[in-house]
Amino acid sequence: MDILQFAIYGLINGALYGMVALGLSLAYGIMGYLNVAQGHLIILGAYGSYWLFRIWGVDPFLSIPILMIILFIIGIILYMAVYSWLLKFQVISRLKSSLLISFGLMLVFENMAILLWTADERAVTTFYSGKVADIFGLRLPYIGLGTIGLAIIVVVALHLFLTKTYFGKAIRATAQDWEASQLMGINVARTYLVSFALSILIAAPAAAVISMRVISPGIGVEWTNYGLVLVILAGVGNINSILPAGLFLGLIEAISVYLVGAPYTGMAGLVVFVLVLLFKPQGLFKGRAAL
Amino acid sequence: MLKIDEIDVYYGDLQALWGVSLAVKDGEMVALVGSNGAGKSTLLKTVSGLLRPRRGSISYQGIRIDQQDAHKIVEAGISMVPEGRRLFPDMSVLENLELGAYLPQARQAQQKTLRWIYDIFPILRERETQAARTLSGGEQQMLAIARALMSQPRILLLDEITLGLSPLIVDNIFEVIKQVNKLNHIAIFLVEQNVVLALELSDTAYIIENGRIIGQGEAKALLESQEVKDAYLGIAPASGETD
Repeated sequence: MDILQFAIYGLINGALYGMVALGLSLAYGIMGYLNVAQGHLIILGAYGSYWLFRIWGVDPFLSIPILMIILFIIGIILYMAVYSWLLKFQVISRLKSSLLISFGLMLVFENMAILLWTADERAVTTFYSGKVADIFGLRLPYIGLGTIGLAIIVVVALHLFLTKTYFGKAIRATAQDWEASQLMGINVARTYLVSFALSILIAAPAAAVISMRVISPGIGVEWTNYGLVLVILAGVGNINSILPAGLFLGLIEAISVYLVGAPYTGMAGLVVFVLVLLFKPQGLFKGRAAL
Repeated sequence: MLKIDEIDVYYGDLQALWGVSLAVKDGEMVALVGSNGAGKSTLLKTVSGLLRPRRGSISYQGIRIDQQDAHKIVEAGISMVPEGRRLFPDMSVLENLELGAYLPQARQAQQKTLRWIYDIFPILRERETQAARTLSGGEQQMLAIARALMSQPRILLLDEITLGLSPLIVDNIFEVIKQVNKLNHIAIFLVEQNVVLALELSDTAYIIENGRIIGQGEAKALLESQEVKDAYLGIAPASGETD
């Protein structure tokens, strides 16, 4: 029974990893941008959730739509200010330049957060924080159930958007061949702008969940790390496999905690990451990129 | 009418087109022939907005289009089948066609256009749900043409559509092109290495060499001219290479 309990915690963490990684995978799959400031943007969103709760008492789950709007606007501004200039480059230069730019952004966001909110750790504590549902002796935290629910909603909504709407199809077309997309009458510049903003706003649910765990200016990079590991595990650009990859990583971590203890949690993920890079660099999951 | 007037086009510092002028009248079929690297594709890319001329002008129905973005040029009624087809490989045949009808006006008429497309290329209906990359070369070329037609263009630009296809499929495809031109009055501007085929089909033709137009006239007359015979017919294969 014990190992099942660990597995449940692993799946909950995995669902959150999946939500964190989606935006990274989107930006990389569509534009070739590797935005390593993603984790810091998520932390900014989490601070948003924290202050919405502290000042107006908005529940973190209900603050998600507001966070989406805020992150969307931040995404638009960032894209127009620093990322739109990279489009004229070949894909490999886009990768390198976006890595440098987002590394710089990372430092800016981190120090800004320290100045504004100090380096203290904070968290939102709601009336249901720490409460669990007890099913056949298994403890299911309400926040954890909400996390898994959110992850499913986000993945399904994104999938429907990309496959059923005209604009979603235009995004996929642009990811596959941006030059040919122009010949379809697609405004590629605008498609990139919206895609980038989408890759940021899609992290809003993750930000809300993280605000109920722990936030501090320094933890953005940890979340980016998880995101990068998942992008590799899932196979680059393969957004349909991000959530399965997240759940997989969460389970591996949980099992390693069960077997060798909590101090090595982070290690397990990195070991898997290195093994995948060595033996299956195209990703663990079958099927072609969804983009 | 599409009017290209004295354009110079560069790739970086390298000049690819030198003072090229030509015209495609409404409903006409015009061929641009020349050897590999003569500047044929460069010209089509410039018309469709993927490249910009450094000098000269391009206008369509009297309106300058040479500084417009590629997606605006599709809106104006000029649609291109690019060299190498450039399909969206991981998307289905139907999705490729839907993207061809991305612009609002075309989207409204999508169902009607689609029925017409399936009439002229019945194989695409059968392949509707398959990913574009799983089609044969000939089917892919048909899809590329169909996708370009979905935008309801007034002019269709065709860049080397016979390349790598078997003679049978080339005949099949050009039957459709002729039909589209004659019945639907869509002007065709085609670029070909297959000189004989292009000249036989077209009304007017231009010959391009080293980035300059070196001959023009009625296509049939050019086909008979000693100059063309000497320069191209000796080496031009009868109709493309095999698939």
